[in-house]
Amino acid sequence: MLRFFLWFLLIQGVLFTIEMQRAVQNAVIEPFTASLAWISSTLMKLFDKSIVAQGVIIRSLDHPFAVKIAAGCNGVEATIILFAALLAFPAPWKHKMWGFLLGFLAIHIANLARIITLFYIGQWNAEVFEWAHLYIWQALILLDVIIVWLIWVRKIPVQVTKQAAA
Amino acid sequence: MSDSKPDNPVGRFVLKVLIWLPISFFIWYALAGPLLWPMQPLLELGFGMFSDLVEQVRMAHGRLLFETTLEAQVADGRTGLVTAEINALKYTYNLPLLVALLYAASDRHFSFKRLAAIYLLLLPFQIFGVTFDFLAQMLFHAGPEVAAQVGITGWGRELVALGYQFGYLMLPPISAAAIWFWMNKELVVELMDLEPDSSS
Repeated sequence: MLRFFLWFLLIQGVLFTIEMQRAVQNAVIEPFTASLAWISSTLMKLFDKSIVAQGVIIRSLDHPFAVKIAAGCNGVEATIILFAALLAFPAPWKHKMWGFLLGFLAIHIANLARIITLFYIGQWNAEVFEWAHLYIWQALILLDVIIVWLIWVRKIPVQVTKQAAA
Repeated sequence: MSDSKPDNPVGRFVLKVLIWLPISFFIWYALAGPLLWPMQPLLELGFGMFSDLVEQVRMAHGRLLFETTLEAQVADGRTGLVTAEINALKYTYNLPLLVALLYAASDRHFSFKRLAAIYLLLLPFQIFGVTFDFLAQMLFHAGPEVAAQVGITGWGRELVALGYQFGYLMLPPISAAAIWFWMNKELVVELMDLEPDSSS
């Protein structure tokens, strides 16, 4: 367990440092964030025709409020935490790959819900928006990461987990 | 699937977290003043040990106001001392989050001693976040004249930028998750034993 814990801390630190590099931001993070804005706005257009996405900004033609999807709101850090936990824990690679794929989907589906709800909360009340943005959704996204990881741990073959627990 | 069983520990844990989260966040916000108070002398002490950048740190509901010794010229030519305001709650929401995670995991965490222990364990991470937020404001947002007085250049600036991003984006969730995991290792072991071999 101590080994897992130390590897987890090391891997998340390394992944985060890589994420922060300008070249990685330009080539991966910014296009990914723009694609999140596009997906969110496309989903919102299904029930709200006034939605427009421009790069990482989503706005409404009917309301002055707009959201910019920035670092911390694109789910990348939550993904890093989950991937570090999956990589650090002893499990077969096939199992890890399933964890990466399903975990990525679970985090980013929750994150799309975060972006969409924050957009409408912001139109309604600035104070509630700040609360939801800075504290509540941060907590819920981490909870999502922990749930995915706990479910993933339960699915690991027993003989592997017995070694890990030792 | 076993995870949909009503008696499965993950489902039970999640349900309890969702009950505890609003309660712990409400109490944390209501007690923000006393909970943040220790940061004020600790930040003054910390900055005082390494530099003379900070004259005083004051607090007003959830916000820390740094009064600095750095000078800046305003539009009419007069010179003034720079201040920086930081929303410390951005760095301390890991406390109610961790309390909810712990209370949901086991009843043995219901104790003032443990609450005090996790408060003290989280404090260094929170101070790290606030410190780098302040440095980042001075170096990157207060103008070149102020940044020059801070005296951090080259790689130091890069480290401050990384430290700020790490302290804001990663440390609050990582510290809560890591301490929760460390205090609940047996829960993880219990979970691992429950599922039969399903990989083959």
